Amino acid sequence: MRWLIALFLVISFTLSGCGAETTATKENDFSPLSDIIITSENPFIANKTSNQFTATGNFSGLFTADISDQVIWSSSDEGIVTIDSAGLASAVAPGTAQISALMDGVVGIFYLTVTDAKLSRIEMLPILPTVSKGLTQQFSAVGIFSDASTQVLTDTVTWTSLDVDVATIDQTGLAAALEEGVSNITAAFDGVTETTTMTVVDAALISIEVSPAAAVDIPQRVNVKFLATGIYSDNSLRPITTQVTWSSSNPAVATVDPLGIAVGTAAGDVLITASMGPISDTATMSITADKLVEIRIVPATPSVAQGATTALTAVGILDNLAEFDITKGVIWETDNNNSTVSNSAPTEGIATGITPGTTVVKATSGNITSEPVTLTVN
Amino acid sequence: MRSAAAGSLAGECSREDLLKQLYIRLICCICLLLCTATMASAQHAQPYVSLIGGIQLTDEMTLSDQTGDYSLDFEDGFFTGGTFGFYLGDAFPQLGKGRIELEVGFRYNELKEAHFATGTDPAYGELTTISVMLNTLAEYRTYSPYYIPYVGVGVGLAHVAMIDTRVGLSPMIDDESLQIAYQALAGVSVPLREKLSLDCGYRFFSTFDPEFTDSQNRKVDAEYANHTFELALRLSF
Repeated sequence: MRWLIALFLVISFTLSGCGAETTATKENDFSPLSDIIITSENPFIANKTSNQFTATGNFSGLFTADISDQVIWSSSDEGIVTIDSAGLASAVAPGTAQISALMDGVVGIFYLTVTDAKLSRIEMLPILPTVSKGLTQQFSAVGIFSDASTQVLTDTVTWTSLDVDVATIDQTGLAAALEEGVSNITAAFDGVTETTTMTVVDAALISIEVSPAAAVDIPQRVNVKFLATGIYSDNSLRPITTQVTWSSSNPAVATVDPLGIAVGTAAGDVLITASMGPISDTATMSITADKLVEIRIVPATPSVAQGATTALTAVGILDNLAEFDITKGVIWETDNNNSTVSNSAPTEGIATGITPGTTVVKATSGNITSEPVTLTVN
Repeated sequence: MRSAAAGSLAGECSREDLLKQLYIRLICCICLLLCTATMASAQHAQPYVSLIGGIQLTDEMTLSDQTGDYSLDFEDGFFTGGTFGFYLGDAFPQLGKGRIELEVGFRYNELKEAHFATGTDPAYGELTTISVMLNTLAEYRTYSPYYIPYVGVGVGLAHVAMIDTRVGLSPMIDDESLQIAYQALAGVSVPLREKLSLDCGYRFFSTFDPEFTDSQNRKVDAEYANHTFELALRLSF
């Protein structure tokens, strides 16, 4: 009986799993195309300009779809307007022509009038843009014609940048900011030009990356030095540890100072955030119940030759008597300039002899400071 | 012969298809053993007939042709059928009490909507299935005198028909397919009188992928499965 029940359950659940929903990949080709609607930005265009048409198919009233690239485009009078296979019409002479889109025996029709209006001026947008290095700026051009009509000419005008070291621009009006400086951007068509100035400024901060992304199993009173790196619009990486604003999600568990040095004061998990304006990044820090009770500098009587270096190690001793290396987390201090001890990654704890004599060295983490040791410079 | 696109869909579910085949073979073996044992213990057999009716929920049906996959949703439908079978008596003490039966069933669902890459469209038409199944059921009679749990499995043949299905006004599939079918069922029997009992149960029913031809003369592979919640009156004599 039991094995039959088990067999029943296995069969039912396994087989019913085979009927899981499938993402549809097939288009509804049962419903035939019943209508084609041609749309255009402009019902009439000026001579020598172009116009993009769109064909929308209505399939038996059930759904519509853009079929611009599937229809066959044609013009009734190519002496007035020509049209390519992508639906881009070019005005050749004033007059009216019938634009047709054909598919599966269904035809859509649009009557396009080409006027003899002359281009009076071009309006460009944006005016005097300021763009951060590494970013792009889309320009647009609108033509004002002699009959007071307007027409978008962004894809029709010829775009140029005066200083291509500062900015370049393609024929869709998309400008790329390359170097700090100023360049004139010009739109020209049918003998009419318009110019604006594009200013490229220093790269903008795009995102922040905090490292380490996670600091785990950190005893209380042990420092963790977080670093913030800025990722800029020109793809450059810049250290911004001292420029960002640091914060802790729970100061009762861990605090973080303006230099990104975090220290735990109670067991728990916190988020350490570096922010600059609206941009921020977060690292996690988990603090254990163990507490740092003593710091010991090794060796106890260090010495170094003038101009040479030697490594000092800070050993942390916990309340459970466990010992571990906290050289990279402590703050190294010296009482004079006879020697220096580095606090910078990746050379934390490296002492350099400057002038013969002695220097008192201490290491601090949280509120725990080591017994001072005397570093002799020979 | 399946199309390449259908093969692709089958590939997504090939492990399940393989399991299906293994289960079917397993069920066939069980049925064969029980049939053989039943004949050997004919002196213990007691015949019965039953009438079944229930609500049927058909899984979303995935269909595949050479242009891709789409699926159909169905309204809740009904299942009705009847059986003729035998109580096995004490022929299988290691299984408890059991039954073996021949079942004829009819399932009906109306099409609700069709899901394409271009969107979901209203759909119309009917899905019907006529099945002939050989079932074997184990009963657990020692649990309570007031109700008797049972489980069972069955194999057989199913005639699956998609009748005048349309998406919007456009014809989609109007075809039928004969396939091997299998099912698993479970429920409880409540004795009403000495020879009359009421079964209240659930069954999962499916077939090997039926193949249809659509309105554009393309081969379409479908996945068909459903769930039935049913009541049955069973009279022994």
